[in-house]
Formats: sequence, C-alpha cells, structure tokens
Amino acid sequence: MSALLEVSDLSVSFATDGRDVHAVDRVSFAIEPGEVLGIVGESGSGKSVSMLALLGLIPCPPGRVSGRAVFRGVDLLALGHEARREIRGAAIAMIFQDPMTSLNPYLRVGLQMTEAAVHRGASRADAHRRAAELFERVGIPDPGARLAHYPHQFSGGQRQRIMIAMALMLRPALLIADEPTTALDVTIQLQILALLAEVRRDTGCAIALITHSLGVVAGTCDRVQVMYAGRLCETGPTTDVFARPAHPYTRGLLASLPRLDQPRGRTLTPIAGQPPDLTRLGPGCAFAPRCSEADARCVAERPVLEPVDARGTGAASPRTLAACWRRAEERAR
Amino acid sequence: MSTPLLEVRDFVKHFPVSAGWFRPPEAVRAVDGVSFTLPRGKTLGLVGESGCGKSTLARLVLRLIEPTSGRAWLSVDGAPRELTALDPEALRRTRRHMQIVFQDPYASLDPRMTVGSIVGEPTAIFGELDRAARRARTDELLLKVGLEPRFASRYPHQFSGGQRQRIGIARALALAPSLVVLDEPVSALDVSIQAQILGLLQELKAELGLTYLFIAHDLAVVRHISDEVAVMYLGRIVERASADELYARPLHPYTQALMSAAPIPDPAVERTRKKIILEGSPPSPRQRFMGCPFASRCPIAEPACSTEPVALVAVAPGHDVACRLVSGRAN
Repeated sequence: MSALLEVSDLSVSFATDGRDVHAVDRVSFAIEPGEVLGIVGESGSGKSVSMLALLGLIPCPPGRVSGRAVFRGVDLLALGHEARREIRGAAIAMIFQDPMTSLNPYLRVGLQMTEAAVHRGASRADAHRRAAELFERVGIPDPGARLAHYPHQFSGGQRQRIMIAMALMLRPALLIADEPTTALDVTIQLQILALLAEVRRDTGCAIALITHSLGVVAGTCDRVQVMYAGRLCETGPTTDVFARPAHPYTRGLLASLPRLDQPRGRTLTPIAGQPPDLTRLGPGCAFAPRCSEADARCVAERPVLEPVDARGTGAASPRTLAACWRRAEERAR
Repeated sequence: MSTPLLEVRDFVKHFPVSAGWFRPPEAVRAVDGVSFTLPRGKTLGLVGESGCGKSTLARLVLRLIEPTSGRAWLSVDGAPRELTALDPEALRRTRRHMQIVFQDPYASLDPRMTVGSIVGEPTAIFGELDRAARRARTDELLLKVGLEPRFASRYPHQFSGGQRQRIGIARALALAPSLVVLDEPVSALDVSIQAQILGLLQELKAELGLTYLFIAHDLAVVRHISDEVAVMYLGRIVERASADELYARPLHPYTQALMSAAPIPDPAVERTRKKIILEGSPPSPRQRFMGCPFASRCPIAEPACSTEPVALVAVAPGHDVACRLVSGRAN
C-alpha cells in the first residue's frame, strides 16, 4: 500500500543562546490511509514539534526544519507559504490539546466553523448547512441554535467536539490530534476517543494521535511510535509493541505504570534518572544515561531503527522497528 | 479502635458567586457535606474529576480556607484537637503537624529562594534550631528525598519537575508532621518520573510513620498508593471502601463509569473490556440537588433518584455507597 504521508529524516532544531537544540532529530515514518497512528512520548520528546513542522507551523527562525515529508506526491517541506496553506486545513487538519484557548472567544462558533470553507469559495448557506450537519455528527444537540453561541457557552468536552467538527469541515485525509483529551476528565476523554474512532470509520481519514498516555494508545491506535529526546526509539503495530516491547525505554514506561487490571501490591519499577537535557545529548543513544542495559557502544554510537523479533517467532518482522544496540546484538546471535 | 488521626464531620464549603446584575448571589457548592475519618499510618485516596471538590476539601482540612460549616479534629500527642475551633495562634502552632505537597512543582517553589532556604524555612519559622543545626536538618531532608545536600545552594529553576517535587516533599517533612496532604503530587510529572515519586512517598511513609490524604484524578495511581479510597462527585463522597474492595467491587454507577473510562495500557485488555460511556458533562455546582447529583448522567437512574435525598450508607462492612438503588438492593 502506498503511504498517505511519508516522512524521511525530519529534523527540527532551534538556535538558543548559540547552542542548537535538536527538538526532532532525523525522524522517519509513514502514515497509511485510514490508519490511527499513536505518537507517544513525554514532554520535550518532539512528538508535537514534528507534527507542527509538517504543517509549517514552526516559526523559522529561530527554528530550522529539514528533511522530506511527501504527502500525496508533494513534499510538504518544500512548499511555499501559499501552497502549504492550500493543504493545511483542507487535506490535513489539526486539533489541539486545549479546547479553551483554540477557539476565539469573541466570535460565534458558527462563524469560526465556516470561515475556512467560505474562504475557499463555499457559499455561506452551504457552509452553514455542513457545519450544522457536523455539529449533529459530533453530538452537539440543537445545532441550529448552538452555532450562534460563543465558546464560553460550551463545556470543555463540547469545545473539543467543536474543534473536531471544525477539522472535518473540509474533509481532510489526515487529522492530526495533538493531545486531544489531555485537558479533559476521564469520562469525557472516553466520549471524545469514541467520537474520533467513529470519525475514522465514517470518513476514512487517517489520524495521527499525539499523546503521553499509553492507555489511550492501547485503546485507539493501530500502530504506535515511541519518541524520546526528539528521536524515534520504537515503532510497530500497537498489539506487538505492547505485548513484546523491544526498546528499554518502552519497557521502562510500561513497567512504571500502575494498572487497574493488575494486583494492587505490584511494585512499580521506575525509570531511573531525569528527563534528557536536549542541549547536552551525547553522541550515542539518548536513553543510554538512564538505561540499565546500556554499555560503552550505546554511549558512543547512535543506534538506528532496525526490525525486531516482534512476535517471539525468532524472525524479525519488518513492521516493528527499534533503535537499540542490545536488540540488534540479540538478533545477530 | 484508637482515635483516628483525622476526623472530618459534615464539611460544607460554599463559594458565593454573582448571578448577574440585580440578582442575589448564588453559591458554588464546592464541598457539600463530607465526613470521613483517617486512621493513623494509613493513606486515604480521594478521587474525582475536576470540580468535584477534592482540592477544596484538602484546603478545608488544613484550614487554608474556612469551611461554611462542619468540624474537624486532628489528633495531636494522642488527644483530638478541634481544628475548626482553633484561634489563629493555636492554628499556627498546630500547622506543624499537618503539611501539604502541591500539584505544580513549578508554581509551588519560590524561584528567588535557594533550595536550602526553601527546605529550611519551616524550621526557621518555628525557631527551634540554630543556624548550624538547621543546615544539618536541611541536608538530612534532602538526602531523605533522594537529592544531594550540595544542591542546597541552587535555585528551583535548575531542577527538573520530578526533582522539584522532591524539594516540595522535603519542605513538607521539615517539621516532622503526622498528616501530609498530597494534592495531585504526580499529575504534573512525566510518566517515567511518576513511579519514582510514588515509590519515594511510600518509603517515607513507612520510615516516618506518616499518614497521607492523597488526592488525584488518576484511578490507577490512587489505587496503587491508598489503603482506603473515597470517590467524590459534585462536592460529595459517593462511595468509600478499602482500595482492594472498591476496585474489585465498585457499586456506585459513577465509580463504575469512572473505572471503565480509565484506560489500561494493554491493547488486549483495553479493546475487549466493557466501557460505560456517560452522556454529557457534570452539571453546574451552582445547582441545588434535591436528590442524587449524578442522576442526570446515571445510566440506571429512575425518576425518584432526582427527587429523593440520598445518603452515604454502609452496604457491606467498610463499604459505603450513596445510591438509593444500590443500597435498596443490598437490604
């Protein structure tokens, strides 16, 4: 299958006080049409920055973006400002973490919903009709009256529904959702995740779901990629990665989480050390300073993503990759 | 049973809010009749979603804010002392026995104070130790929370979130309190750091014989650390039981929904288990409820649930539920 989006060697760096911070460091991945890809990592891992870079939302300078991101045969990173605006919102839409600040408090939500469609030549009446349909679709009752309301008249969960409806206005092929449920309570999170699953089923759009919650990934994503310090450390089908995590960081994350379905007395095994300082990364694996398996090579040389034995069959599976010298050595044996 | 370390009876906190021009002010019922006891050496977990009143309850317990009504007692040197009846000076002297760790390790440490002065300040205020002894006590506290004593001369911005939370914990322990209120102590931290802090809290509790009131919205975290758990909804406790009992046998429909909504990091489990998706959002806490405040979203509610008053009653030994349908079934 040909990928909807193929990203290769994406790097984003920021010049700060004469020192370059590599927020995203040579990351390559693909998104297939209609799939839900989970992008997990902690704060500062580069998960949001990599997506913002694809949409041209990184201010340059101070940022610097390099690499290729081919979307339907077009390299997004080589596009000019105007050409990129044509794709942004229409073919690729994005929803943000905080539904409180991503809507304009001074404008009625109906106007905000229809703005992009009208700008692209739709009539006000048609745009309004589609907005009302989508309000209905995302579960906001009485769309006719509600479109005339202001953002503060909606709850947090409803505002996130409005953001999703707005993203769907121009029928995007790829929806980037940046921590769409992090600001919401768990019972509302469940509603929004169920809605995103429906949206994918009904419209067939691919979803890149950025999250720090492995629980959210487990429930919603077909594939997952784990980021650490701006680099991709593991990627593969969700079921394989959770069943047999290959990278020590992924293993560490799973071992450090308390789980409701496991006995209460279980001791958590924390990951030692502190989050990485992106201005002080060594030449080797970024996780090496906190890794219990690290040796001299891990500190000296950066590992590359290579297929791992994801199903315990003894054979490497091409869809599951990890960047770890230990796993590479195990395979070589 | 010996006297509990903390007893809270019928705490109510209403915040007045303007309802608009020419209208009498309304009240946000942040805490609406909460009672509990906390035995010495145990951890009581308070869970609930934003706006359920859990943080307000914590502040009431410490009398950082004054209750509208209700009383609380803290056991000091074996005798219960009524916190809600203390004059300001007596309250100040009692505060050394009850301390708090806040959620945001970035906002809760003064950026212009060194770590040494932050951790040493409580002892300085209570004026018990001379400068050298205070210095030694600060070093000891930093070591206890896993930081090096040489960090004492640094400033908060030189530390990561997890390290800052350790500093906040050291400050809370400075006066050797018996009760520590932990208000979302790990929710601002990265996943890989959360387990470090949870482990530290458990070690400190065992070593120093602390009693915790642990407030969080993450059910898995609360279950992990608590002996007993109380679930709050709109200012009230709707269910309370031992952690094992509550999670094995949640009875209140809200507890059941909350648990089913908490994601489990395992696709094999997460994709097959039954989820209860609640309709809508919690109602405004300005609203006055005749009956159960959860009735508007409850999947099993009957018309009478909205009109008949509901109280927290024992349905099994040590397991209390505020639901007329559940307690009706048990009788």
